[in-house]
Amino acid sequence: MSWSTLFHIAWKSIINRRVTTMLTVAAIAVSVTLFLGVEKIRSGAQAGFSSTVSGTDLIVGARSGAINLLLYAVFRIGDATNNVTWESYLDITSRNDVAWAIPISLGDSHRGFRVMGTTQAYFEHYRTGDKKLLGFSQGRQFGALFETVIGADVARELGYAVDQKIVIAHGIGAVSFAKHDNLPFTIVGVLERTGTPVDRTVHVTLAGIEAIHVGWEGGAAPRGKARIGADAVAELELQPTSITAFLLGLKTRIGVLTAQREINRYADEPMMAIIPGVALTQLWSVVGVADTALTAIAAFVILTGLFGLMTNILSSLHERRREMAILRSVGARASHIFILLVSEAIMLATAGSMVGILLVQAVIAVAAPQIVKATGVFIGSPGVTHFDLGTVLGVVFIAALLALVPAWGAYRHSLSDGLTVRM
Amino acid sequence: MVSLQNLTFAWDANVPVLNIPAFQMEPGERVFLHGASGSGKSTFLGILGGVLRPTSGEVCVLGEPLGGMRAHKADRFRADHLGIIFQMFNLLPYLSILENVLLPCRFSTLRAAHARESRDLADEADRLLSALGLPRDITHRPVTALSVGQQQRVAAARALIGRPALIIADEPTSALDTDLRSDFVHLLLQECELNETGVLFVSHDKSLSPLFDRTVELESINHIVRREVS
Repeated sequence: MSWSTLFHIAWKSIINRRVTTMLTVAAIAVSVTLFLGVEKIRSGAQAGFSSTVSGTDLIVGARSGAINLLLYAVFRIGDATNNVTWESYLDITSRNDVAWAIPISLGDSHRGFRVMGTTQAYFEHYRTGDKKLLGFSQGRQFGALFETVIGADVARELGYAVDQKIVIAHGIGAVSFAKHDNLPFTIVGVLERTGTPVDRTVHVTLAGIEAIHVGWEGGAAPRGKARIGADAVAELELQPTSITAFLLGLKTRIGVLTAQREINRYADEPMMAIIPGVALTQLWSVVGVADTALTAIAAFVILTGLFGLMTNILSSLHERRREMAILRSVGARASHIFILLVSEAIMLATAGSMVGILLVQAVIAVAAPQIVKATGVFIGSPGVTHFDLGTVLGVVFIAALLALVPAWGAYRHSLSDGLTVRM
Repeated sequence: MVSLQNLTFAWDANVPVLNIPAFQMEPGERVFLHGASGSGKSTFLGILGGVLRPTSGEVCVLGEPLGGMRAHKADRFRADHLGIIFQMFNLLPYLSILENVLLPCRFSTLRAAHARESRDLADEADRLLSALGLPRDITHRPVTALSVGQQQRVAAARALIGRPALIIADEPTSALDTDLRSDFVHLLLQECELNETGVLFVSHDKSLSPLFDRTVELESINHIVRREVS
């Protein structure tokens, strides 16, 4: 009895039951599609996450937690517990091994988007994934005091374009009652999409942040004489007294650990320096729990599909006892009957997961550009990965394992039925 | 060719089904085995077919001790030397008529070699089908389009292909109309005679027994003490 005959018989038998077969294959295909889709999004999100910031050697802020510092300095989530004085900033950036520094000043917002005060160094040195500098889809860098450059999401969601004037609100709520409406900013540039928090940021000059807070020393909006206009502010000497954090680029990466240690021990002020890659990994280990859960759910969906396959074979056994007796009568061994059913499961699982892979490829080809545009998450280009093939192997293996149950049942039948065709 | 001695069989030690002190068949002999339903016919055929093991006693088919053979050897033996026809539903509905007839040649190289002796496999299948009274062009039709009588003829062609030594037929005519029965048996025996194939034909229809060399009552060779099974 050659294998090809056995497979031929299994194949013909499957085709004969094409409706239930197709449904079973479809169930497996959909579950595999879901599983692989979740994995692509997960790895895309992880890659996007870890490329949020690159090219920066150290992030420095007031002493708190590494993840907290990363969250507010890079992701612009949450608040700093304390600021860094301008003197300390100048002192550290004057170190010999510092190549560049980007100061960051947070605390205000515009209609739910964070406002960040910084300098031109930001456009010269801040890099996202693939070591890319920020590009402009419209306009240019800010130069004058009341100019602003907005991220792609800000422009899209609020419908802003270059030359529009915006007012910055005090504090970071989506709805704010205290507005710096005496000093509006003019949009001079819109950044290209990066898929990072940069897209959701309104960038202004550090001096601009200082300017809008003139007269706010008491913590509330100035009234009467204290409320000043743009002309008056422009004449003031605007030197920040403190910033929220700053990013450092070193001349050589070898010195990173030394610089980090020295900043952490800085005597005049409690500060901490973190290495972005290390902190990102720590943060991902927290965030990653959610997508591990998602992957687990998708895996269970596959298992459900495979149980459907097993049910399908089990329920067909009764009506197929005749088929088994005929095969036995022409010389099939009981073990052939066993192999027949296992190979049937293998064929269905292989077909199902192949269709699943094709579906995922089709979805990627159609939806990937849209997903990048909408979320900035790049889920990869079409192409079968090792993970895909591993999934197919895993699905087929589990299907074969599950098929042992009906196969064993048929094996027992074929021994006890003898040559009787039972109805 | 077939020789049973002190054969007993029981599914359950308390309920013996068969107790046959002796049963013989000569090579090429055609035996009509008469037995009522529930008399242990199917079990008897299962043992002769090498699918069921006797509880005790000896079973020799073609001089081979079938009862003591390992399961896979018995399966091989059945594929090589036995042709089996059931009462009905003999065919796999998803295979073509030709594929159904050639099934034994897939499981046994010996049967395939025999069938190929004078012509190729498909031609031999055609020859058998027409010898059994089926129209020439039938091999291309789906199995499900055949009448019950035609299905039994295809089953007979499958049992005969590759010249097995013994045909075991388990009530193959009970689903047929009375006037077709003797015609079917006649053609089957004719083909067996050509190859000197032995036939063990089980039926409860005694009107067919004159066509055979010998008639055996299962109840007369099976010395079981019948009990009521509740």
